[in-house]
This record gives sequence, structure tokens and C-alpha cells, in this order.
Amino acid sequence: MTFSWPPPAGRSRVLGAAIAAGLVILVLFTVFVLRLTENAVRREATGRVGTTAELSARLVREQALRIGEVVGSYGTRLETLPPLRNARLPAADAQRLHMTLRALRTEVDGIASAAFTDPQGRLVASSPASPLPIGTDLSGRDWYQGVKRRSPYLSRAFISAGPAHRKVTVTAVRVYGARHRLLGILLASETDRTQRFTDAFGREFHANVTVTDQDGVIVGTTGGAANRLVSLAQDPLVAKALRGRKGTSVGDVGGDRTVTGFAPVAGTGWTVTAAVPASEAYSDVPRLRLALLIAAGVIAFLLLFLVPTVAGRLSRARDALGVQEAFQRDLLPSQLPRGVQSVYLASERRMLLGGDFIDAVATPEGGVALLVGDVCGHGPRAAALGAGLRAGWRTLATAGVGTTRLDLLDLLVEGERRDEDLFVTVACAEISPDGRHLTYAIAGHPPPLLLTPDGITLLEGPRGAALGLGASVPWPTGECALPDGWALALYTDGLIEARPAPDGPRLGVPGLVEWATDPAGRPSAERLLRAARNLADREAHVLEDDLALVLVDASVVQVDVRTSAAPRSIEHA
Amino acid sequence: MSDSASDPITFDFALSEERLASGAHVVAVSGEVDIFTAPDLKRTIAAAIEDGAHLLVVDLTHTRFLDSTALGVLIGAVKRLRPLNGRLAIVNTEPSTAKTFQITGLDRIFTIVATRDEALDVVTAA
Repeated sequence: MTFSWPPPAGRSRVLGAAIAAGLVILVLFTVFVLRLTENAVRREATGRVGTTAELSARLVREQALRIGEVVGSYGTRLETLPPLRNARLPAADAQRLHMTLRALRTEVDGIASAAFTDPQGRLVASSPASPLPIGTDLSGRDWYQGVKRRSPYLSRAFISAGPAHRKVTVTAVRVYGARHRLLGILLASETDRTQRFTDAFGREFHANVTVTDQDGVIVGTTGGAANRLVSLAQDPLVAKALRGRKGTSVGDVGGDRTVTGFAPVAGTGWTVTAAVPASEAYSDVPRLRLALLIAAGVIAFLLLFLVPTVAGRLSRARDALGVQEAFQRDLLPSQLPRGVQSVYLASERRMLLGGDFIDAVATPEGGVALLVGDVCGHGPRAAALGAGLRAGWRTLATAGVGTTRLDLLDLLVEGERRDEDLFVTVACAEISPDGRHLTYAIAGHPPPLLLTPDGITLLEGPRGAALGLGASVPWPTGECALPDGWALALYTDGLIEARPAPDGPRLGVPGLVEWATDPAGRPSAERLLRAARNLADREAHVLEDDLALVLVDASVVQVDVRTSAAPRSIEHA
Repeated sequence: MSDSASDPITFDFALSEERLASGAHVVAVSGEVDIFTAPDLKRTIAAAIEDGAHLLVVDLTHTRFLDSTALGVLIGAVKRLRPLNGRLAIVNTEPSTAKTFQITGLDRIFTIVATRDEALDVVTAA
């Protein structure tokens, strides 16, 4: 395959403009689609981060509820305690309380310590033993205020009084005795359950999850939190969650573009934020961008390379047809004597190289000889044989034997054809110098039409077989006198076998005679010529065969006799 | 077979072949033989001759139209059979085809008869 870039000039400018326009449209379209899909993907990814935050908030709430229920169930074991007096119990009951607290601490995963206060918030007992003395007033703690409103109550984070001074949260549950009388408050403190949750959840969802208490103080955060009270209340997202709102936000966190979802933990006042680096949340975006750019690149490649290649091939094919057309023209006589009119059409369906041939030339006596022939077949071989025969006949006609020596043309066919099946039909005629006499010879060809004021005659008279049949019989000549106002039409079978109306019947010789008759019933060569030209113009693309028509009338000799000794074509011959 | 008068452009070209006990080979053609269908006819006849069919009958009873390419195919068949001492007979009753044979002078080259039986008699005659 040969390929040149830029494509050859001429059509290339139009093509180039079309390609440039195509590329501009492609770029605009790509940018537009990229925007649209990127936005959609970003929206979707952002929503996913928000969902992650909500999901973790729900899980934190579930855990809080579960711990509340568990602590409550241990509280029911204390329903039979007697009312406390000054935060003290009888020894047996104190022992039972201690056993319950110990069971709560050791049996329930995540509970670091358990304690019991009286309704006034004074410490009754704890497990393990608290550094605070029995009877210490704890009513100032937030859980004491909280559990008065709601039980179970999940406390704020605080630093425990225990030996490790761990950051803890407390679940406080009211314990009722007989007749629904408040016995006291059961407390269970946890140190790292929320921390463990944020770690596990963070790993699972590739998110940085942070849980805060009612004040925005970090309870747990993926990757671990310091064992001190750090408040995020100033963080606008945590602040929003503290006000009970949920949502997502995209912003810079520590210099990295981050997508953050935030949500309140219902029923606790706690909050959850889940942060995902934008690069990770939007990891689909670069993939999408790549896919789109590849697609656009492929289209651009098609535009830039394949389109010119295909266009180049088409244009070369057109050029080849042009060459054939030009070649066909060159096979026809360069000039016909004045007064000779012709229609010639090589069927496009036969590759524009026709096997029909025509010629007209002056005779030595000053008359005119005419030829119409048809090489059966088509394409270069038929066209070449036709051109050879035309030249051979012209020699005969110029020597004055154009109608009498068809046997020589027959020899030419036998000698020149390259396909044994090829045969040739011709009709030739000679008009005497005074335009009064016609001699004609026919070799297997449809009969010429002689138009006179009296009517139309088919010259079917003496006829010979087509050339190239190996018939080796002589070709007779016919003769007739020409009255005033005569015209002669020679044609090939392509004309009578054509269908003037699409899907209609073939023209036939009767149809041709009809074409040559005017509405008044008079023969009209002009009408015939017009109809044939019309057919050639209109039906060029559907004609199955080449067609040729040569028309002459008396003017062909009278004009030339008056103006010059010989027809013009002889001047160039 | 469709009615050619009401449906002139039906492309119903078809070929059928029959080898008879007498050694005669019949190629029956229906529809129109033109530039597009003639190559089929040419291949079929050439293959039959190659196959040893030297007594050939081309039955054009159901052929509506022959163009010059088709005539060339028939001429080629005659020429191929000549050195083999073969014979070709054509069955035709269609007036327009008869006219074509007459115009081209091929009626002097071909043996053209009206029925297949006559054609078989012609090619198998001693």
C-alpha cells in the first residue's frame, strides 16, 4: 500500500478542512463527555464516602445500644438489693454487688471496669477497686446528669481516675428495685472498643474514620488516637455533625485533597467522620479519562490516517476511471466530417471501455463513408480490437473500398483478436459525392434506418454474417437512390436493446422507428438524435451495453462540396 | 417461470444440464443471457465439452433474450467443438432471438431447430 501525507493537492484542501473540522468536533465532544462523566463519577464516589460515614455511625450506635442492653441486663441482677443507706449495703448484699460488678467486667468484652453508685451519685462499689474512696460523690460527672435524662446513657470521654489514667467512656444504666424504686446507677467503662472499631472499619473501607463524643472529643480514630482529650469541635464538619447534620465535603486535609463524609451517631450525641483521599475516592476518574482519551485517539487516528488513505484510494479509482474515459475518447475518431452527428456512450457497467466503434471519412471521389461497429464483449480487449478495426476500415474507406472489402476487415478480426469467442458486427455506408446515391454493406449488424420524406426504410437488403465467424462468404453490398431530404442512421444493438424507461421493455427496432417519427407521422432525424442523446444522458449508469448512433443527411456532402474539396477530417488524417 | 410480458426485467436466468444415454449433452437456458449471466453459460458449456460432451444441444426454449456476449459464447462452443468433430444444435422458438441469429448471420453457422427432439436427432445423426 502506498500512502502519502499530506494527500495530493486539489481535493486535499477540502479533505483537510473536513478532517480539521472533524478533529475540532472530536476534541470538543471528548472534553464535554470527559467533564460529564468525570462529574458523574465524582458525584458517585463522593456519595459513597458519605454512605461510608453514615454506615459507620450506624454501627457505632448499634454497639452503644448493645452495650447498654448488656449493662442493663447485669443491672437486673441487682433489682433485689435493699435500698442503700449512706451508700452502704449489708455485707452479704455488698458481696453480691461486688460479684455482679466483677462478672460484668470480666464476662463482657471491652469493659475495663464496672462500678455502682447510689441514686445520689455516691460510689458504692467498683471492680477493680477504685482509687476513690467509697462514698465519693460522682454526681458532677456528665454521665450522672445524662442518665437522669436517658438510660442507658453513653458518656463523654474523660481520663479515668484508675492507675493507668486511660481515656474512657462510660455507659450508665439506672437500676430499679421493688416498686420501681431507683436503687442506683450501674456504670461500665470502656477504653478501646471504639478505637478498635475505627481501626477495623478503616481497614475494611479504606477510610479514615474518627468517632467523637458529644463535645467533639476524639473517642477513636483509624490509626490510633492520643491518650488525652483532643477536641475536634472546631472542625466545621464535626461541628455540623454535632448539630445533627450529615453530608460530604471535599477539601484539603493536611495538604491532601480529601473527600470527607460526616454523620451524627443517633441517640448518643456522638459523631463520625470518614475521610478518603481524593486520589483513592476518585480512582475511577483517571481510568475513565484514559479510556475516553484512547477512544478519542482511535477516532483521531481514523480521521488523520485512514480517511485520507481511503479518500486517496477512491480518488485513484476515480482517476483510473478518468483514464479509461480519456482512453475511450482517444479510441474514437478525433473529428468527424461536418454534417455527421453522433451519440456514443460506453456503459459504465462495462468499465467505460466500449466495444462499439464509429467513424466517418471522406472518400477519394469526394463522398463520405460511414461506419458503425460492435465488438461483442467489453473492456480493454474489445475496445482495443474496435479501435484497430476502425483504423483498418478508415484505410479501406480512404482507398474507396470501405463497403466492398469487408472480407479484409474479417481477416483483421481473425488476426487481431485475442479471444476466439470475439466476433464483430459492422454496418458501413458510402454517400456519393452528389449526395444522390447510397451504397451499404452489413456484416451481422442491425439494419440501418433510411429516413426519406416518404417514410422510414430498414436497410435489411443484402447482408452478410458477422466478422470473425470463419464463415468465409463474401459480403454483398446494397445500393439505393437518395431522394431530397434524406437522412441515414447507423446504430449498434446497445441502442435497440436499451430500456428507455427503467424496468420497461427494450426499445427494439420498432421503438427506434417511433423515435424517428414526429407527431405528424413524418420522419425526423432530429427527434431521433434528441431521443438518443436524452437516453445516453439519463440512463448512462444503468445501460447494460455500449450504444452508438451515427446520423447523416444530405448536408454532409453538399456543405463540404461547397466549402472545400474534402471533409475536414481528411485534413488531419 | 414468470410471464415475460408483464414482468420484463425479472432476473430469472437459470441453467440446467442433462446427459442422455445417446451421449448427447443438453444445456437448457432460461431467462435472459446478457453480459452478467453469459459467463455462467460459458463456464457450463466449457466444462461439459471438457467432460467429453461433443454432441451438444443448447435449449433456448425458455430463453427470452440473448445479447452479443451470449452469442459469443455460442460461437466459442462451435469453435471448440469443430476440432473435436463435435456437433452443436440450438433449440429456439423465440422470435426475437431468431431475429438476432438472422441479423448476425449466425443462423448460417448454427443448426437451429424448433424442438429438443429435432436437435437430438441432428447431433446424434450418423
